[in-house]
Amino acid sequence: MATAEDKSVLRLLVQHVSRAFYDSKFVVVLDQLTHQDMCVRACGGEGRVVLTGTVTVVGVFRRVKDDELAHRVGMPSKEVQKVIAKLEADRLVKVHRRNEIQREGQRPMNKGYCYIDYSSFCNVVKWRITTMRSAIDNKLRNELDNQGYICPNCGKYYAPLDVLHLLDPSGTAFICEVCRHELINNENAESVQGSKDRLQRLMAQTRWIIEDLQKTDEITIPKLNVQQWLAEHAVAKLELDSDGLAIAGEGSTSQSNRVQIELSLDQDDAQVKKAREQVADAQRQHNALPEWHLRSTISGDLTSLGAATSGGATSGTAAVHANGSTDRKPEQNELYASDLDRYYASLNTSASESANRTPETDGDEEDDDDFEEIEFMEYPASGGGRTPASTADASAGLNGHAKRGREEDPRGVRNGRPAKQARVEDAAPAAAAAAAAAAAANAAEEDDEDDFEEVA
Amino acid sequence: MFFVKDLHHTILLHPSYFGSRMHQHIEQKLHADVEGTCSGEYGYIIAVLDVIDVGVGLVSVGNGQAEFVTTYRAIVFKPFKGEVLDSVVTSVNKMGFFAEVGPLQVFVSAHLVHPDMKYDSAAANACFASADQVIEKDTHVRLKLVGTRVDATEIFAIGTIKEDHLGVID
Repeated sequence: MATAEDKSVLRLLVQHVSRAFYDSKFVVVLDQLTHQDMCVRACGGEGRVVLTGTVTVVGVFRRVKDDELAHRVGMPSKEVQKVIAKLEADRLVKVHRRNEIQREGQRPMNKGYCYIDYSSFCNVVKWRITTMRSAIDNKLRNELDNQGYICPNCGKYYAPLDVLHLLDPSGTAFICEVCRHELINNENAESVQGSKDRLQRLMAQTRWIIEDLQKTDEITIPKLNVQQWLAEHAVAKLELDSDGLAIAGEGSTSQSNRVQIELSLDQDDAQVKKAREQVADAQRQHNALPEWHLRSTISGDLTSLGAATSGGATSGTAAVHANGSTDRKPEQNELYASDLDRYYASLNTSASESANRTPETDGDEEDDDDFEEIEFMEYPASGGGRTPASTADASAGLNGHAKRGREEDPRGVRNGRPAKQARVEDAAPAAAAAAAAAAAANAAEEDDEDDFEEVA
Repeated sequence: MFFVKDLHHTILLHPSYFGSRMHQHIEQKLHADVEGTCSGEYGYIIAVLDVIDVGVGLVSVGNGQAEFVTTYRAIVFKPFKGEVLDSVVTSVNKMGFFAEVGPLQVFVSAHLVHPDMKYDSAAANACFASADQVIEKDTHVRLKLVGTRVDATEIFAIGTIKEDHLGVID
């Protein structure tokens, strides 16, 4: 069984590898996976928690809420999925997937438990390092092969394939075809030097990893049975870790909290409003005038005070029933409306009076009558004012309108509107007679120009 | 690598050969024309195996020669990069050594000889020598091609013996 020291060696290896070859996101995730092991040991307490037991819940679907790894590293779970997918493709991390039923009555969800299998991790890293070295080594050798030859005199470069026909007759040396000097090896080519340098740098930079790998060779890493481990630990661990690290940028949970807060606030609002209404009702009842003030004790009719309060009270209560918040506006509206009613009633009576006065005529002719009446009143002598052709008369008529408008104002207010409405309704049959139309135009001038156009 | 390949060759035959032995003449001329030649596409044509079709002779206007488009089957040798071949050393110098694989000239640079083998100019024949092996003229060497260059009439190759199972063969 691996000791704590061995574990720290393995952890160090993971950390070195992640920091050497991966982005910070990957580093964070890998660190969590290694850290998780320590965490499990710390909380689980059991000595038999296997060394490879860095199992962390990762939801394979985005909707899985208890996406623990995302929760721990403080990244969106989608991003963590990406990181894990890459690491899995690189064989550094293994993911054990299984269907799990999250809650009663829900469909089983495919969930992944990702962990580092240290034995395979070591093998993968070993293989990678070897491959890298051999790749650079091969490149270096190829470049050595192709370094070619150079003429020390004129500096002309020959590729290895070009020199075959440059062999001198004695067969001992290559001769430059330009200056007949003997060629030498082109050993100082920059690419060759660069390659050598690259190999050295690789060795220097992977020194830590190679040392770690050498140390891990001495450790026997026990094999991990994920399913068994999950059966024993997964559930307990979830509960244990719920009070773990502070969560940064965990969108879903904070949002649900906020919604709940809003809901509770809403409820409070309603309750407060209700309480306030109850208080107001009690106050109202307390302030109500006694019965004998509101009604005459003799006849039982409402007194003036009673009428006022009952009107106010009914309108007030009606408003309360209609909508929760009440103020004085509806009351005013009511008063206003009653005024209007009274006004229209009086209007109707006056209209019926005028109708009685000229029972055979319809609205349009009534207008004419009005006009004639006025003309008669204003200019009793000038009968020719009625002829529409003469402009002088028309202007005189106009003046007459203006005057009449001033003098007959109260009547105009009372009669003008109904008369006009009637005239407009009956405009079509009346339009045939030009004289009538002109007369109507004269009459309508008082109201506005539009009326004339409508009639025409 | 060697291949058996069906190829075409156009032969112009002088009118003096027209007659009963015309086909023999054509075959002789075909052998003489194509064997030992080299093309970039097929490599060296080593030998004509048989003539499949001599073709119909068309007398060209003006000079009276007949043109035969012959179809024949031949063995071709095309060297490939990475191919391992057995060769005979032809010359050794301080830059490396030359070896022949049939018609193919191969140069093995001193860099591509195993570091144990040092050039020895003091010996009677210039050679690369290690503790137990000597590469000198006429030594049989197994080598691997690392590059080829095809000219109009010739193919050059460079080879290496700096890998496992390459080098002197007894």
